[in-house]
Amino acid sequence: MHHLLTLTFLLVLTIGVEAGTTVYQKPSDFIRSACGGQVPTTKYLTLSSSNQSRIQRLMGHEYRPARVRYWTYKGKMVVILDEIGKTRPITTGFVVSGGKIESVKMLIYRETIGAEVRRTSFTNQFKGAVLGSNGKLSRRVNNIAGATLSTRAMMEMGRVALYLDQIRPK
Amino acid sequence: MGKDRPRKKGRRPGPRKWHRQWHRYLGAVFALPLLWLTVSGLLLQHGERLGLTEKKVSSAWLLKRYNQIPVGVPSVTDAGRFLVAEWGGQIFVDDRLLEESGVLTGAVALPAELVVATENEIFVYDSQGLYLDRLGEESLPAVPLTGIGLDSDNRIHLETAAGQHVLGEGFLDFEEASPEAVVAWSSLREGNKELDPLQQILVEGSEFTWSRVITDLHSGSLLGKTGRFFVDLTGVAVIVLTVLGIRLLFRRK
Repeated sequence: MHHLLTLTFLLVLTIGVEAGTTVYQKPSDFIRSACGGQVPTTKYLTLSSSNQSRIQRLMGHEYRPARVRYWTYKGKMVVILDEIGKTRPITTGFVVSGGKIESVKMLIYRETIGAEVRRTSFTNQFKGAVLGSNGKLSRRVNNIAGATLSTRAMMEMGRVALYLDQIRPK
Repeated sequence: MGKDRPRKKGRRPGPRKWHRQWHRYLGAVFALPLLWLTVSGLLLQHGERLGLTEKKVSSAWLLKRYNQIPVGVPSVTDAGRFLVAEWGGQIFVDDRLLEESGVLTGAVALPAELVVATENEIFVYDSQGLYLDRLGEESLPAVPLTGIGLDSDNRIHLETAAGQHVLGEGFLDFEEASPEAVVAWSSLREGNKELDPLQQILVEGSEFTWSRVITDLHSGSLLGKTGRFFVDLTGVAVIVLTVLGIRLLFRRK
């Protein structure tokens, strides 16, 4: 009887959990935190066809927007990128400084599973990574079991963030 | 099977009689569900050869069951030569379903750009429909956006809880709008007339294959919890029928 009650409780709990959007940090707050408490003037990069094809190689698929918005502060570039995990976009903030990833933060998660990639233990793996000539991150990023697609999306965005830092006007 | 033993008047039916009756009734009741499971199982087994893994579902009823077609009425607005619609969070421009989504607030057309505002984001497209830019919460005065409009200088005005703002060149910044500004606000209307064409766009663009439908038919998921329960019940019935059948076979005299 006791087991039956526990099972029923777990079943109800599972049904009650609905897929939704979780905002871990507002993008504007992320920019503020990286830029000394303010949102600097927005800049944008217009991606040429050669930029687009390079990004396509880095991500493994087409990158749709023709422009990418970014913010700069004391030589750092802050960019917010979206990439599909399994079916929904994961919004992630990147701070790139001197061609290296300084920090990564998952801001908005919309998938049902795989949100473990928000953990600092995971995002810290990106710190100091640079974009190799082979289009790969210089640092090994360990996968999180059960969040393979989200991990892959984060790595794709990391590569693009580093590439955008290379091509932005300095 | 063998003959039943003669039963004395007033005595309850013997176990064999009872087994036989249950075997018969259960078999009759679950014949159709079993046929359903067998046929759907065979279709699944040979789905690839039959092209079910490629063939797209084009039934609006089925797509509605899979929530691929929203309920309710679309919200529609005219922006220059474009017709922008939102239905269940999906956004359409003319006869094209956009990959971007959200609750539509309005849309305005500039000479070279179409600007679509949802509650939390603004999407910018060129006149050919190419996706140019996205303005998220970080690029807007506040969210949710409650209105978007154009003034006589073709500048975009936004209405939020923080007041009325006007977007700067390239939509890179914004400033408070002058109270005297005359703005033509984009307004939404109910798109009863557009409902069928939009449904047709969703049906034609559906990525749902018959393989998925057959899988759900086999598991009963297509009919929700009731369907799954019924399939479970059929499974139990098969077990009971097997046990009863074996008992009847070996207890025959």
